[in-house]
Amino acid sequence: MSSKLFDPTIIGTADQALDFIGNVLESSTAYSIIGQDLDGKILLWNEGAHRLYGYEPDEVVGRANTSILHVPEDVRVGKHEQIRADALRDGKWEGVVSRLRKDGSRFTASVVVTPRRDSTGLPIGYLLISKDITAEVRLTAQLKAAQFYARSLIEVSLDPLVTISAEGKITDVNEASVQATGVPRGKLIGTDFSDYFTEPDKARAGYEQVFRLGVVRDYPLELRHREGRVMSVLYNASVYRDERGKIAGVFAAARDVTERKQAERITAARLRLREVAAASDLEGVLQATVNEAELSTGSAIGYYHFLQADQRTLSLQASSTRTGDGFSTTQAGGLHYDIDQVGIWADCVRQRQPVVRNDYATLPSHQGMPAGQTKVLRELVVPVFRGEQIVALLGVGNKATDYDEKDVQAVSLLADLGWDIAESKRASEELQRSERSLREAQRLALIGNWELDLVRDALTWSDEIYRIFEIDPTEFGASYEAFLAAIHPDDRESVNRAYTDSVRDRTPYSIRHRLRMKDGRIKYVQERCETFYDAEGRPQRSIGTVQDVTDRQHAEDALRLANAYNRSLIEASLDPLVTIGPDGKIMDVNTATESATDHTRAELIGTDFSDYFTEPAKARAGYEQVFREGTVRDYPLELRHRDGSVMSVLYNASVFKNERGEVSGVFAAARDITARKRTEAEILRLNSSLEQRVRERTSELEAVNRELESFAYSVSHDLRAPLRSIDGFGRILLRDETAALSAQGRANLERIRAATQRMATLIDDLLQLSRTVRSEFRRTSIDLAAMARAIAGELDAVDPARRVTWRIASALPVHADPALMRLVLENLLGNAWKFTGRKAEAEIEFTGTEHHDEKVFCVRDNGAGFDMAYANKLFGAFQRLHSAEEFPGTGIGLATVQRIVHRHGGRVWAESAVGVGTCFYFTLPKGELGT
Amino acid sequence: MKENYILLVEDNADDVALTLDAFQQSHIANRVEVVRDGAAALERLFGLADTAAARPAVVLLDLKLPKVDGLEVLRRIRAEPSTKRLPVVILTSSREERDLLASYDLHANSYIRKPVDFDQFMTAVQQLGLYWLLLNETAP
Repeated sequence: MSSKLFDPTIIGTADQALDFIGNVLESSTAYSIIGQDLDGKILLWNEGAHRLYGYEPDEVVGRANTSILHVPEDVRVGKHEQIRADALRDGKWEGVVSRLRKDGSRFTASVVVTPRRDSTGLPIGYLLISKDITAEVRLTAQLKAAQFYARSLIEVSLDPLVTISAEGKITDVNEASVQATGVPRGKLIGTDFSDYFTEPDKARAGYEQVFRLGVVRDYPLELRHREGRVMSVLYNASVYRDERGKIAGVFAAARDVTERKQAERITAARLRLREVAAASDLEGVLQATVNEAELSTGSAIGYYHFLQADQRTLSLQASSTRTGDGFSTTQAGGLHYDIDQVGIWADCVRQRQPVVRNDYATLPSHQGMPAGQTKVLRELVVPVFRGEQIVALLGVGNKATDYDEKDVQAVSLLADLGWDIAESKRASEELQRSERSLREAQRLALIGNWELDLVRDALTWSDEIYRIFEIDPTEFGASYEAFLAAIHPDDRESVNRAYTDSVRDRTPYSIRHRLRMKDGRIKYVQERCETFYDAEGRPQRSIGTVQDVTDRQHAEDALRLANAYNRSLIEASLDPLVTIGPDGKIMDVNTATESATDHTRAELIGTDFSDYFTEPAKARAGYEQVFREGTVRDYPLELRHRDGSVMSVLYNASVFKNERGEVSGVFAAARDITARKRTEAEILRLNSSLEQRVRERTSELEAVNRELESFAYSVSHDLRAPLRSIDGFGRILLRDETAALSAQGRANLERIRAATQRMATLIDDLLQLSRTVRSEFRRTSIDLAAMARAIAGELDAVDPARRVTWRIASALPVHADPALMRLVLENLLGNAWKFTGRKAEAEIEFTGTEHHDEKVFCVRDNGAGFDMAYANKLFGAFQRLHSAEEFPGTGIGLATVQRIVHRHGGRVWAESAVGVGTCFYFTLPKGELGT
Repeated sequence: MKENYILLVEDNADDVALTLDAFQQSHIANRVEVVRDGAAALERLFGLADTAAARPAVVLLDLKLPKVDGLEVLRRIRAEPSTKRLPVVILTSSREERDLLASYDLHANSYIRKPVDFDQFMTAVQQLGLYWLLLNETAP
């Protein structure tokens, strides 16, 4: 072929030169080159034109007008004539137009039309060069779509994202940044990044560090909303570069950690309160609680009220230190209100839930607010529940901004905690009081004594006895009758019998009984007596003591009551409580311990404490530590229930002492933290699943990058080849046909060569663009059948002349990414359409079936098919089994299909036979949880 | 008598024409035989009974080819005792590092990237022909 083209003997005369050009034009296959006269009549039709438009030279040369190459709607508006006129006027027309093949199919072509002139410069016709650029046009559209997609991902990110210039100015932001600052995008861009933080210097230092080091992780800052709210964030930031590799700025992504910070603050507050509880009284604990609530919400005032069991009477127990300053005329702990007197402030009792009033000042009824003189602007009041009862209220007010849900949570937690600490504080104060009264009772020791001479029947009383009996010794002598008369009538019989029995049985006795005074008062006395006998066994005399134990009796009664009360508190405690002896045996338990272990008190007492834990050795080490150090706090153990379930607990334990101050055992209180543990585990799980998602995202991005690499590689290879042809043949023309070409012709050829260089540059630019594209993944419920019908409709519309019978299932619901699945179907149906192009009766089918845990889909055609020997190359990017002259295409479609199906957790394969047709299968996992 | 021909493995018709033109311009008279895919190249080299007679002076091999790609063709040439010393010049559009490394790892004798500019392309092909056909001594 080439030897004929360039045989130098051909080039001799001008006619021969013309012939030669004709030969060149005719044999060029990559480009359609068509000669026409001034009216568009076709005079020259090369091989490229034949291949592109489908007409044989015989069919058109001298017979047809170039208008047959235009689509009918262009012909109607005279576009072909307009193009010729423009080419004549400007020396050239070039552009992109829709073209029509002989078979009626359409394509997009890049077209250059130049006028031909005779030797006198008069126009005699046109040369029309065209090329099918459908594939390039589609490629550009795909790149645009990908870029749009990447931007939309940035916009939907929940993390505030921002880019910063070297001068510290904001150059781009996403919607989350707008939300976080409350400043519109247009106003953010161009301003100083550091202006939006509570610590601008720290923000500046942050991005300067990124410019210096290239990357910064977990940089803590506080982002300020226009309305004053503050969001605690951690920044991850890195520099990004322009296409020349120069640092263009900093890309920074903030992660909202406000809630985490809040949780940390609450934990710290809890620890502080526990310390306060150890060192101060009830009111001190409550005041500390209110202070913490104030601090954690940024409030200016705060109160803690108890609500009596009647659910009506409020008593102010403590106000915060700051509130106290403006509140000195009243005193905490003394004020009582009825709930009806306090107006909206006690709404939280009436509504039995936390109440937020961010518009307090404008509300009509706010009398009775305990703030007194302080003007309230906003308030937040939360109830503390114990069972069905509200037991306390914690209120804070006058935060600089509106109270929100986070404040409600924080204050509720603190109010609850304050109540728990106050409650245990109160219980221990009661216990101390009863112990004191016991000691006082022990100090009482008023004892009188008497002696009865049974031989002489003479009774003598000591002075103490007269005092105890309140008898004047001057007016009334001592006698057994007088003694009996002083005894409470109900006790006389038993006292008399005790004495007579004692004399008869010769055993001493001790009895406690009542005395009734003349004025009706009752006294208690402890009486002890012993009788002595002679050698014959006759009773001689009785000696006894009488001790006034009235005060002790009262004290003991009081103590019994107090103990019963303490005991009831201990029993009412939801925390499993236990006392342990020095030998490690359980001495006492409360009801909560019984239900935590499902062992009765009787079963538990006397057994080893350590037996009831998953780690007995650790339990033993725990109480031994208490005996050694006096106390242990938050000692973690796992309490085992009889049924095998386990409760995670933290023990607070301390030694308790007897009256003599000797250590008699350990008192240990367990706090069930199973729920808290579960929450912590949940947080851990969420964190790790977040990391998992980040890893998945990263690997997806890496996969996309690899695909782009492969794509870019092939683009650089395939798009360059035609350019080389254009340049090469143009150059050959110039070299070999200089004489035959007019000056205009040579200039045109130079233009073509210049254009090829431009195209080469464009390709490089496109590659650059493609490297910036990223892709994401979102599943929804979609119907693949409906999607397939829509695509079939589009294909039919593109080429109405083709006769294709579609068979598409009525409905094929799946859970998948709609945009990506559309790409899959467009490629598979588009391929079926393309490879059935030469069939008179084309048939394309799309069906689905279910097998086990996956859905299997099939796109079947009766087209050209391929040799199964090459089936393994089918899904590689830019792999083609047909030459471009047979069927056009880039070879990227099936690689795309495979990538998308794999990302959905499915498989894809094909079955085919040459001349019979092809069937593409792909699967998607069933259910919503496919990965 | 062994014919000193050039085997050009190239799927792009235009590149074939341009390469042939370049040879002709440099007055290289040797026959240039063109095959259009990797499978055809293998057929040409190994399909005949007399493999020695089928052996060209040099193979100009494109990398991206239909059916069997250029690297695979090169691998098979190097694996076959009769062709393992055959001069193979990679003539491709790619300038990817991995293509370069893979080609040399498979003992390609030379690697030339086709320039878009035809004048440069012409120079490259001329020098290629002169070197491998006139200057270079092939293994017997």
